Amino acid sequence: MLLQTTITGLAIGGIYALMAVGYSLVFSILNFSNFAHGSVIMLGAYAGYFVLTRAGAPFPVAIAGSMLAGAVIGVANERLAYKPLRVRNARPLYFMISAMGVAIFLENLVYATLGAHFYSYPEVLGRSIVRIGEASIGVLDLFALAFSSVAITGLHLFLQRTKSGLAIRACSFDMTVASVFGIRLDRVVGLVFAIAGALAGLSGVFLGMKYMAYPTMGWITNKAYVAAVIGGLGSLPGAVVGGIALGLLETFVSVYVSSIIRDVFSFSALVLVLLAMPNGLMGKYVEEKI
Amino acid sequence: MLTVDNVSVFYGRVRALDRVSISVNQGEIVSIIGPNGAGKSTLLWTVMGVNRPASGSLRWRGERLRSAPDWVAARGISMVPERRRLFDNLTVRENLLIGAYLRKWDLSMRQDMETVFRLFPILKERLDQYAGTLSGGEQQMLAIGRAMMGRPTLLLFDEPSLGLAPALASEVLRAIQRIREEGTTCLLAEQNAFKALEMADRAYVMNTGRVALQGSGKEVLANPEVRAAYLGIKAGDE
Repeated sequence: MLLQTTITGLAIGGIYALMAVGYSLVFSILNFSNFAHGSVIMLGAYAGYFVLTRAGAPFPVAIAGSMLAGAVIGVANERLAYKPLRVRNARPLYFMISAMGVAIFLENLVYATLGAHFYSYPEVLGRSIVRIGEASIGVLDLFALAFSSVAITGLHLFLQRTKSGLAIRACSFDMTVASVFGIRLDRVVGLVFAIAGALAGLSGVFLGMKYMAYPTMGWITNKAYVAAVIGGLGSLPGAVVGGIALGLLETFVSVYVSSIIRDVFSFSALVLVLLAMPNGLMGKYVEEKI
Repeated sequence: MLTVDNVSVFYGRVRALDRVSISVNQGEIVSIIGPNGAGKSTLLWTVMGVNRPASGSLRWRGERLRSAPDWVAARGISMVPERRRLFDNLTVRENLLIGAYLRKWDLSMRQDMETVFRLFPILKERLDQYAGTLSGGEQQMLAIGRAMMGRPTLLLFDEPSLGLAPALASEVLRAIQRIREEGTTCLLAEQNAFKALEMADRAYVMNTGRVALQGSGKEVLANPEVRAAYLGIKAGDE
């Protein structure tokens, strides 16, 4: 039971971490909380669903398709909604309001075009279960854990080892000075939104498989935002640690206490962490965290 | 090589530069001195393309400079900003790499890193340290090294000796002279007026957003008003 709960917790934590990294990455560059991220995740879930069912494509193609869709939507979101604010040096608050507008718009776009009903993913991975000793572990959980680990490790290597990754890290510290050395801010910001969008697409597929795809599923990602804040907004290791911690906490509470009060524990954890460490577990920013 | 012609810049409704005209010729060290708030930094950031002039023009080798720093950087202009503004979250090596961002990261870049280390040997020992952990003097050296890595034709220095102990300040200013000897043109904004004028081929004195005085370094240094206002030397003191 313990092993099973831990693996399930890690799997959920991995998906939270994927989503939280998207929030943190954008925050580290533009200093605002991109509340449209949840809607990109939602659209990623739909994209994966349609690639699987309408195109009848295999699972890896669905993953690739939803990541691509997420990246394109993420970049379009930035170019249409945030770039006009960016070129005018608007304050983070305006970005956040714009992000909320985008979230509401995208949700309603889905209501208007696809309707309010829940799309349940076909059982590509089946309900199959792997037995390890006493524990029976869902294949879906194992896949979620594997994909999120690979994606996050890949992102880490990209940021640490490549020229573009270095440019992103430089911009996260000082955009103006980065541009003085020839770094094109539009390109870096675009790249960040493409990465965040691709990760959103990936997490969308797993959320869709776990909970189905529906217009307001983006609100699940509030949890991922909580994870990002617990870890320290703007810090990628923080997002990962926060995501995993939150996933484990929720699963353990669900199993050993009660799944009804699961969220009480999550948000209490947020409040406690912020009381003790206002910038999160690994954050550097003490400023506004909206 | 660089011509700034009648440039005005506003921060909101405040006029930070008021019809400023300066020029920099190839191979020169040109110093701009003046008190805090005179517009020295604003002028450098405007050349770099970060500030957009409300009127006037900036020309670089006959071409109109755009208000886009990445574009200006690609034209061979680089900058050592006031208070360094290093990437504290990056290592010394990574800061130098950012300086070389527009270039191919090949063998020639390694040679240029060696050139930086010849000028500032301490940086070689600090290569894998985070820039934020360096001392003030080391940080200033890194800021200069970072800018050198782009092989600029024109290098802008904003208060390079600010906040440094006198010995370190002299070392930094000597480094600037050596950079010029190796062929890079230098435009220098400094509050350390005496040293800045002494090493300058030509100099401008700025006050409240305007160019108040200009001439060769020696002429400006000999000007009685400059001596009284910036060097604290009254006529008859010597």
